[in-house]
Amino acid sequence: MNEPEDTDRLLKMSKSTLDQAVDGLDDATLRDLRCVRREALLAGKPSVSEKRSAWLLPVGGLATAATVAVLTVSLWLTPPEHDLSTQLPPLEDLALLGDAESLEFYEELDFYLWLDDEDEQEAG
Amino acid sequence: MARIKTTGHRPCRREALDNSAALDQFLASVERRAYRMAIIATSNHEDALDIVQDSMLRLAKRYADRDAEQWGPLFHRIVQSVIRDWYRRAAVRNRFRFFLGQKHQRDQGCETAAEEDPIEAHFATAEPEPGAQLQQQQAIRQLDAALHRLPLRQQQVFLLRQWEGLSVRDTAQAMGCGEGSVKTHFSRALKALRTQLQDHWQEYET
Repeated sequence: MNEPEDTDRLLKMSKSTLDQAVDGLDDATLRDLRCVRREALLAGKPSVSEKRSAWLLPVGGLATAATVAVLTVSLWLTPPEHDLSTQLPPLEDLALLGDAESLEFYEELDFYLWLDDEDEQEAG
Repeated sequence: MARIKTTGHRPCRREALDNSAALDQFLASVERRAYRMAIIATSNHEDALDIVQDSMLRLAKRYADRDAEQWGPLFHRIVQSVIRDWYRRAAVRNRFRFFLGQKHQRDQGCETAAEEDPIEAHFATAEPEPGAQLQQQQAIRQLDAALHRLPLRQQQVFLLRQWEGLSVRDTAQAMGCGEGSVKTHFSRALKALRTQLQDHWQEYET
């Protein structure tokens, strides 16, 4: 028998043998394959939490961006309602209250300031 | 290599359910042949099941929304890829075991016979069965063993071309190689199988 005939016979026999092997798979193997398929399909589906998070991702991002935008615009456009300088005590007063000099010194402070101005004028 | 296009629309719930049922039906139609390919490559039931499941999972996760006619070529490609991954991991495991085995022998200070190859053992220790069924079972075992002894690429090309009936071009796509390689692998596989099986199968014919 020549080589092409051998080859042809080999190909036919191998194909039919492989088909027979598939047809002859036992029940336990077929059951295992069904289980394997069911598990693969279940695992292949996105879970409820994945679906939810996938849906929430753009919504959450948009909400955050909108909040930041509103806050920024509000702060930018709204003028201050109160002048802080009218509400707070002058810084000089605070310094005086914390100072250890005698009260008499501060009572005569205007005199010392006048004296200081006079000295500067004479010098100039 | 042809580019696979995705469908343009987002499926509604009804379509998704239909798609899921269609995918289940498709996988049911290919699982046995995929298992046989995996068992020829691994000669281990559990490993073969792992390969089939991993392939199904990859198809379901990544390509479930593709047109159904694309699933076949994609699944072929995934199965071959998963089998190649299994081979690489097995090769690393075997090297590690070989190293540990040598170390163990040195530590024991004795010479032991090389362990029997579990793959060869699998094909050699099947129970005999009566009559025609026995002949069929022997033919299957001999073919499995001969295919298993082929280098992986030759084995894959032979199964895809000869058994699955894929064209050279489709086989090349499934294997991720050139068409020239497919022809070379197929020719070598054929030569090796002819050498190994010719005598056995002539007996069955007479």
